[in-house]
Amino acid sequence: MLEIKNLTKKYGSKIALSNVALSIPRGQIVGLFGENGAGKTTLMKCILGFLAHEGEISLDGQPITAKNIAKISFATCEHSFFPNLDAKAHMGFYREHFPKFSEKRFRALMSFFDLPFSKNIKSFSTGQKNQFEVICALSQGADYILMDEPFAGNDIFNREDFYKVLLGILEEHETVILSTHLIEEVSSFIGRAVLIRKGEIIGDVDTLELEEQGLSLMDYIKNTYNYRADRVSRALDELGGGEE
Amino acid sequence: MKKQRSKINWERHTPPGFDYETERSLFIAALIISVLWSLSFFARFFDAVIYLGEWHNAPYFYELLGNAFFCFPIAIALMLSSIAINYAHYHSGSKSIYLMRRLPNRWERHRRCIEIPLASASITFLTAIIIVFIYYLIYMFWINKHGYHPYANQLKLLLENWRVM
Repeated sequence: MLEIKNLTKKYGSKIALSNVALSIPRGQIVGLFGENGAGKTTLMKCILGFLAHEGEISLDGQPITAKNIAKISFATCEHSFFPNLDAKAHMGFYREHFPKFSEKRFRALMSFFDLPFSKNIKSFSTGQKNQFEVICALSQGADYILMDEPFAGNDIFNREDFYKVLLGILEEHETVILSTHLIEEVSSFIGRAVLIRKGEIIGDVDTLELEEQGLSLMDYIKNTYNYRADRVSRALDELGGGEE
Repeated sequence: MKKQRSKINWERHTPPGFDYETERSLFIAALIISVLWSLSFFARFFDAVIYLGEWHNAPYFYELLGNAFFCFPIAIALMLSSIAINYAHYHSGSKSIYLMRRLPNRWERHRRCIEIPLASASITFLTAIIIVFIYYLIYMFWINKHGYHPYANQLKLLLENWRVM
């Protein structure tokens, strides 16, 4: 269980996260949604201990320290691999530092995405880099896999492939927290949606419950965000009127 | 086979993917230049030997050293400043700092940044000390050979001249 209590993060006077409370049990695939700057990345970085913060974050009842940090992996659109190393060297590095690293999964995913083992990662295309980033996160042997917009720059076919692979390889104890703007694409396989706005959790829903209510995830998000569907047409009307 | 093992070891002591060969070449060059520059001691020393008859007293050791060790502190500063370059490497081309900060061994990222520069700076410092000692032995041998009485406080004067004390 990943448990977050009263998490507050401030950048100077700006509040990035305000009293965030969240409990994520093992085995869930959680979608983390919110506009740009809502606090999704900040939340993940606080969980990973990259940012100083107020409040408590615990993993299976223990504070996150060097002892249990290997239980969390992280795939980010900023990329955390070593660009001057090839995949083989990465494999060696992960094997050395993460005791539960799954070489079998690593090789299987490399093969699935048809990525070369002996080329430096910096020579990969953006899509391949994203795939490699995700492969590392999935192979680390972590119980909690954090993904921060991992598909930015990937085409739809790549993403579709990835979703299928993700669903196929995840084991019961593995938890994925996926931050993305691709709501409709991920809505079919996430089990829970957490909405964040201006640093606050404004929605937290089980996708099965939504189904039972006959609501789509997109509808739920729009409702929670008080999205005004007519605002575009009104703006266009106003612009059109101005020109006349 | 031996060469390859040595190469792998060097990689393990620098940030992953870092161009350690350039850094290594720079460090070795800095050390060699420092040692070569220190040989300027002999220019002053042989001058002293030649003009000894005209001198009332033998020159102080620090006078003979002059700026022979000028390059050593520069080399050491260069080596130590590469620690910052090593840390910056984790932010270059990607954010591999995120991976390094997630390692169960929290010292790994620091170790890989500090180890080689610190070891190189220490070796350079030790080399300087050994060379000073050798030059001092040569100087003392020469002093004794010509029947001069050695000056007291040579080390203190030397350090004062180097602004250490």
